Amino acid sequence: MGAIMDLISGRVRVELRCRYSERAVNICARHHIEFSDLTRTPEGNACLTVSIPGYMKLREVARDTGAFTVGIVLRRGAPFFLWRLRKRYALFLGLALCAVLTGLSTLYVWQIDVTGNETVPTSKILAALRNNGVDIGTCVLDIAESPIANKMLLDVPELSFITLNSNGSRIDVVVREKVLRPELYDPDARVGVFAKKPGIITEITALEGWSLREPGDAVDTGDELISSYVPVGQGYNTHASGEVWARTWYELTLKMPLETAKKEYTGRTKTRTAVILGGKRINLYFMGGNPYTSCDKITTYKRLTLPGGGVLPVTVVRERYEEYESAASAFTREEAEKLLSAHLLESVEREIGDGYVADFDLSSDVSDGVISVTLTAECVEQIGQERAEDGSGQ
Amino acid sequence: MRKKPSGRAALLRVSEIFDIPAEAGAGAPRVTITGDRRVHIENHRGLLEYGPETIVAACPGVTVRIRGAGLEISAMSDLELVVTGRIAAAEIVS
Repeated sequence: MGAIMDLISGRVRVELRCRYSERAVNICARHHIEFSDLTRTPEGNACLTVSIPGYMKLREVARDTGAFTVGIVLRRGAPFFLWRLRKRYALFLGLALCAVLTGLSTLYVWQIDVTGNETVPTSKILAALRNNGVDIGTCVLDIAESPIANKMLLDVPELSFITLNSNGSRIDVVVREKVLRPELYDPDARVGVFAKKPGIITEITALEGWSLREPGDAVDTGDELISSYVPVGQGYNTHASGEVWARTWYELTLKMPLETAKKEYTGRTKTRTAVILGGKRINLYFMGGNPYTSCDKITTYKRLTLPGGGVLPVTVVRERYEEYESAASAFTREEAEKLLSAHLLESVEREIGDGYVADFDLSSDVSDGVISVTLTAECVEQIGQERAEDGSGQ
Repeated sequence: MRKKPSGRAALLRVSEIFDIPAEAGAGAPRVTITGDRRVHIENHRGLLEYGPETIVAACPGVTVRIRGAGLEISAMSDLELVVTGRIAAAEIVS
């Protein structure tokens, strides 16, 4: 460590020439000139190492006392290195510029740390912050922490508390999430189970309440299936619940032209680069607009990061243009049927949730170059849905 | 007639009575030897002789002589002196 400090502050190895070198050394000590590595030269002179201020003082003492003369043997350290570079004005200008830029950079947000969120994604909080003017590259002086925190609570309703702490060029965002009140189960509520879709009941299981229908009954949307009124004894009301499985039918149709336009890439591409520096975009090209009449534009944003994971407020934007020409493309009937039927089945499965497709039939028709595929599916699914009863029951 | 003690001797005596470290109270030299490689002398009054085999330092009331091989004064200020090298002996000469 001492050697490093010596290199930074600079050290001078000097030779004290006099008849009695012990006397010269004692004079140095008496004048509070600290030195190290004292050795005697073959000529009998003292050779020692002092700091730069020590050397200046040593010269003064030598001049005042006249007891010895001082000769420099070696200079080492950063001050001497910089002194040699003193005429390299561009270097010093660059260093000054670097220092100024470093100072200015502390006025901008370089990092945003979000803590305290468990279910709300960090990306959602960061997006809301961005909408409120806080992003990497924003000037720290422009961030009004309290008003932004209030707006954030409105923008992200899942949060109950948020605070922004500006710590130099880093913003610490501490959030607390709302604990949502669980939906209370009210056993006395007049709630019945109703059909949310038409169908034929296959199985009805009333966990609470009274079943109004039986397997084999056909029901329409909105029909009450399990009543909240239980006509047992004196009769009483309860919060009806249960599952009602039924056969349901779907008929879906999709159409598509058999002949479509297809992109054929010519192989000609062009890439443009821009830099977003603290929210300001700097284009590194001269001519804007699309370079080709028909082209795809693929834009990639790459935010520069430091090796430790710190994000810099610099984003490199690359826009790649790929030219294409439109060419006619035709599907065969089989290809189109396969494509559309897969889409139709996927739609039905998404609609029935936990249920399953018991049977299905596909039919297709081509008219004026347009293929139409119709899916008729028979499904089994849960159609019961709890809902407050309008009337007073029985 | 009993000889009157000198100022330094009186200070040393007072330091002993009040159990004050003599190097602090009376400015007595303090010599610390670390292994056979380093000697640290505090409260010295200057060098009388130095060389690779002998270093002699003047101290209040005594002289400290370090003998050895490859001796070097690695640091020195008006109060402290550090000698490094292979130390063979450290003598106090009254």
